[in-house]
Amino acid sequence: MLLKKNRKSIIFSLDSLLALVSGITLIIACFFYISQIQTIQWGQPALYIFTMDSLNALKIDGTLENAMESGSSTRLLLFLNNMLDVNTCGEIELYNRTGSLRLSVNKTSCGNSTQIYVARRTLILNNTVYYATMRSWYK
Amino acid sequence: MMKQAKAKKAILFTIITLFLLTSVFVLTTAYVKRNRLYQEFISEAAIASRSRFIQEDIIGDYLTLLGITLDEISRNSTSVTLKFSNFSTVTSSINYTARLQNYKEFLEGTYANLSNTKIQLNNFVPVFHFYPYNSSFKISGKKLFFYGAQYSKLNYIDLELQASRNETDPTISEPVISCEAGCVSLILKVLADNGSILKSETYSLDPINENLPIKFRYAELPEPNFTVSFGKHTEKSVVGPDAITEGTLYIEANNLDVRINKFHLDYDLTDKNTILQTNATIYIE
Repeated sequence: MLLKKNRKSIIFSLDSLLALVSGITLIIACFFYISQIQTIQWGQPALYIFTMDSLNALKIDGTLENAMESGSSTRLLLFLNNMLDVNTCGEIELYNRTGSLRLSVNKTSCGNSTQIYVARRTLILNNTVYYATMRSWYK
Repeated sequence: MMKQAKAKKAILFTIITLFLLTSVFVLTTAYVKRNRLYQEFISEAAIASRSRFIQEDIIGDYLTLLGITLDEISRNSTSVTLKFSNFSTVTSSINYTARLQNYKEFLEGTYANLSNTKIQLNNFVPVFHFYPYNSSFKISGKKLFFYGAQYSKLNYIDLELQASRNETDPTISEPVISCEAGCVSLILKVLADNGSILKSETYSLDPINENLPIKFRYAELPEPNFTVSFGKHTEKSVVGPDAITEGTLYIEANNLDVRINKFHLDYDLTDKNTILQTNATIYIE
């Protein structure tokens, strides 16, 4: 009778030990996997695409060309202040072929950020190559 | 009896707990996998967008560098019309090949470095084609060629040229041209620099005949000045055999510039997609 009881208790002990080990292992594995998850920042690729599209639109409607020819940043500043939403900051720079800065415009009242999206667009003006750079970031 | 029932419950509890934990584990791994997929998708989408962006930039600049404005490719129930307003300047003072080469060097050098990409442009020359009609345009400074390989499908060419001279009295030599079948209309309007009309005429031309050119000659300039022709064209070659093509529009300007203000080409209707295409390849890494 005692032997039977002992055997049963051993089985129960083993069962509970096994359950405990399996449970802990599974919980640890779950935490391990969860720790690998990166937060998907859906807004960031959207901001990059927006940056590229903005430069494209500015090139097509002649704003970049106009700014380069006249040296006036008024229309670019108007774009940055009005077209970008309040949480988005932006900066547009125009360079000549060799990389000399011709014009730089920043959205007013914007700070800096560590995560900046950059797009570049070439610009042909009187058969000379220039390029424009736009940087954008979230406040 | 009571103890046995409790033991059974304990085992059942263990099994259920393990089952639930396993489910949580499976869900976690599935979520992690999905998350990785989304991350990859976002990265690839960004790369694809950037490549597309650079490609569009190059295509737009290609036309700008050649001084071409493509208005539209329109289609009605009977025809397809390719419409350009501005189609480069025929002049010996512009080397379009060098201009494109200069742009190519900028793209492959400075622009690629700044964009942290490798860009390679091959066959970036001032020649492009219009499909499915197998027509080709070749711009080479003082000469402009339009090769209408499928000239039987070409209905008319509407051309407006503007010379860089103000004289309104150039000598215009017009050969007597006759065409009986398979004719193509050449609607030609030539303006002086100040806008006065030098010539406005519609010619009916046989695309397989070696039609004599319409010549414009300015007294103050050394000959030849500028010519327009359509039909069979023989391009003399220094090396190798001469190139003979039919259905060719040929414009040549010497000692003056000739701007092409309008260049419309009307073809028979096709059920295929119409595409303007160069043989250039863009490699972006």
